[in-house]
Amino acid sequence: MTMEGNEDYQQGDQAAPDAVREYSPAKHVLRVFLRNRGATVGLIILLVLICMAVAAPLLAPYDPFEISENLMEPPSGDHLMGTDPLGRDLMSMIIFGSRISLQVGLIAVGIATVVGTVFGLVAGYMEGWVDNVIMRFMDILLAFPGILLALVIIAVLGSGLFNVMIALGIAAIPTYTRLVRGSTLSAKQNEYVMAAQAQGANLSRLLFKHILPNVMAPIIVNATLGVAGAILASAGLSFIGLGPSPPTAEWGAILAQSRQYIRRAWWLVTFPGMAITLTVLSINMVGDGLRDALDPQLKE
Amino acid sequence: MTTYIMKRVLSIIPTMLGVAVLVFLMVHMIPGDPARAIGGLEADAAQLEAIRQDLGLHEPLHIQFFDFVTGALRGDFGRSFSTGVPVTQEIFSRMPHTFKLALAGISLSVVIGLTAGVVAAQHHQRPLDNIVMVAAMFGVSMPSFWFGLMLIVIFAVTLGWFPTSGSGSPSHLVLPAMALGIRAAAILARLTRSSMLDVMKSDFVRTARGKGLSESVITLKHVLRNSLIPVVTIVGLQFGALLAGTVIIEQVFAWPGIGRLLIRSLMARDFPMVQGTILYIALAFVLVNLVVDLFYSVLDPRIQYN
Repeated sequence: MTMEGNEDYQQGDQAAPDAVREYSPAKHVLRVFLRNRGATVGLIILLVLICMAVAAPLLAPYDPFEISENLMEPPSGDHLMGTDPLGRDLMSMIIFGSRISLQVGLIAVGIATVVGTVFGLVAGYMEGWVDNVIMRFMDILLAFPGILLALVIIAVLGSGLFNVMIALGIAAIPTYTRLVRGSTLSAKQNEYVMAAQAQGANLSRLLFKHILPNVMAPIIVNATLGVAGAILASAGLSFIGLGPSPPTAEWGAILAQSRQYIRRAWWLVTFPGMAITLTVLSINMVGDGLRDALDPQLKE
Repeated sequence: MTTYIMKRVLSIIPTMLGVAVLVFLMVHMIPGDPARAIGGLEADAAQLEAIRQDLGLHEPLHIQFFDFVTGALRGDFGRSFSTGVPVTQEIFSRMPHTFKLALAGISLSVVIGLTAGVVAAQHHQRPLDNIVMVAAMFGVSMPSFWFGLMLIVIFAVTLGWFPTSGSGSPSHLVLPAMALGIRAAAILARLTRSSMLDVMKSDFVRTARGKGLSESVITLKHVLRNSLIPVVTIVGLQFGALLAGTVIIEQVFAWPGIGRLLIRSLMARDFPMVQGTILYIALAFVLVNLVVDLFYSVLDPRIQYN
């Protein structure tokens, strides 16, 4: 793959200016990405899931909150994934749940990426005491393992979907700060950055126009995998009762409500988990593919 | 080297102090009045005030913090608001359960992860490799608490091989340890495989092969040994992550560890207990990371410290 990548560059270097214009890094990345079977499969699954989330009202066979007399029915022709103790159609709940999970993942990672990147750029570019203050604070946040920090933040903010997003977002900030700081430290040694400095470019221009594009690749890869992680974490938080309050179609919350019926209704604990796994799996496959395409050195 | 170790060990102090400040502040920002939680709905203003006096909640925040830190340094986190038991005593009676679970989880994941990784590397780009890698991909994508629920459905409810929840006998440990370790096993399998594939390309492996050593000797003595350095680090870091993972897994299996204690205390606004559990988990995590770092520096002499 790298060989072919080089050929692209050489063509660009030697051929006429037209050919130079034809070479586009984005196209190259896309080509390497699509050549990766796992990544392509992941992307297709993910696109289907996104369509499902968008078209949920059209696709769901029933109203997900409609209570019926068919209590706890096993999967059948009428209810493909069975019904819950209130007679609600599980499949409809799961289809609507995809909206929540994708939203939580995207917004939590959005918060973490933006805040974490700004801190990382500033810390890496300024160095000295600013860097020290920011990074020691990040060390403190990193001393909370796993979902512990998110757990405490939710305890403070109160449970609920929006607070879960904020908590997971804050908890993920240190990862991006560390990552971006490291890349910034090396990116600022580039001659064009020094040239821009010498020309008197202001700080935000230096950081966002000259340094940021150089550190984008690892951010994109981490953010993609981060969405998967955030979906997993939010399911876990909902499961222990810190997510959105019922009635809700959130996958982790459905699992929490279903747990007490584990002896009688296997479908109630099986399908929501499959939905989470499939979503996270597809995003992970896309993330792995992006990593291989964007940064061949990181390839596993 | 010695200065590096000293520096690294001492760096724990400001970090833990920061953690203490953060935990204290966050816990005191949790909405809800603990005096009301203890006194109940019937308590009048005077009774509530008495409870506050009793717990030291009437003091200004900085005094409360000072008391908290000086107490914490002596290992005294006060008494539980809800049961009156000293926090440290309660945590110490539950800590062994959590460690047992985390240790069982990490052992299981090392055995499964390393074996799967070695097998995959030996069968590189053949069906077995693909099967292991797909399984590992599922392993990192499954919510571990859901995997736990599935284990209960299959092995406890349907087959009746293991108890659904609780603790006490070794058979109680099997399902939660599997649920807890699956993710780390998958991560280790992927890492072992890629690390082995890297080492297989190196010159000394070609030399060994040229000397006519058998493949199994090459794999075990030359490749695996040299692939283990990154693996050891990740095992350590995963152990720390497992400590946090127990918070949810303990809920699934009604395991009497500090994870369940933490959730219960959070719901009951039992501030001293919440502070104590979080600080102990964070301390354990930071110490594990420290050991991993130090171990790493001993294991790989190529790394320079200054």
